[in-house]
Amino acid sequence: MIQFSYTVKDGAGIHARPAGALIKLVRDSKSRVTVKKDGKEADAAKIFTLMALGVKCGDTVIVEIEGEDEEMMAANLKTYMQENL
Amino acid sequence: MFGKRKDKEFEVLSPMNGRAIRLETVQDEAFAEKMLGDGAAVVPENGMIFSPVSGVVADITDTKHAFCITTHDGVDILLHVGINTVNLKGEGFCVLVKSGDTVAAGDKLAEVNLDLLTKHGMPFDTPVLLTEPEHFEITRFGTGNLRGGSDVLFTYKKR
Repeated sequence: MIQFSYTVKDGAGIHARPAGALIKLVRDSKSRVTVKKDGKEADAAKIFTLMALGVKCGDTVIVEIEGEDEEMMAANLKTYMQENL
Repeated sequence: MFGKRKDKEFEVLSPMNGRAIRLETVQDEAFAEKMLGDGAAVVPENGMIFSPVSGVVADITDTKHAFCITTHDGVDILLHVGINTVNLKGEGFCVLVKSGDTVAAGDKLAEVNLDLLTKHGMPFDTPVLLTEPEHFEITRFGTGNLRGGSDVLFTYKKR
């Protein structure tokens, strides 16, 4: 399992467009990705749970990746989030 | 034909009065490329927003422009009003329901001031999505002008 934290810089937080590409990344991978904020957690493959986290600009989330391609996914997710969130 | 069989068709109503369009033509790639799910969209001509299905309101974004509704048989439906409307931060939206409320298909959920979207150059395209499309097959699409809360936007079957 790999874990990293990320502070969201997008003024609108995790909203539909960045979430869409994030979900696609996760669904195309062999790992399970969980996003955690303030004790709540979301399956990053599901828009409903991601949106329910209500992540806003300036919020720090913890991203957990577990599965056979976790190293590659962690790197891809970090890059994606830095560029889009 | 509508027995309790696997091939039962479920209806998703148009959430607003307006013209039905295919998801592929929505002016936002997250929807057009179906990253968030599969369904259809409507280009509304007024601001009344109705529930496309019967179920429970699972979540409404703080920015009031997106609604998550879980149908009574557990299907998650996302309704996203307008494009880039997240940036209005709730301005122009008046929401009549809250998370946890039970709604019937056709119930009024909210109202949006479309003039504000025009002012900010935001397309009106309003997608309605099945967020876990791998479990469903879309069987029919509504076409032309639809009445919000009463005409069918699309139908689906469980796979």
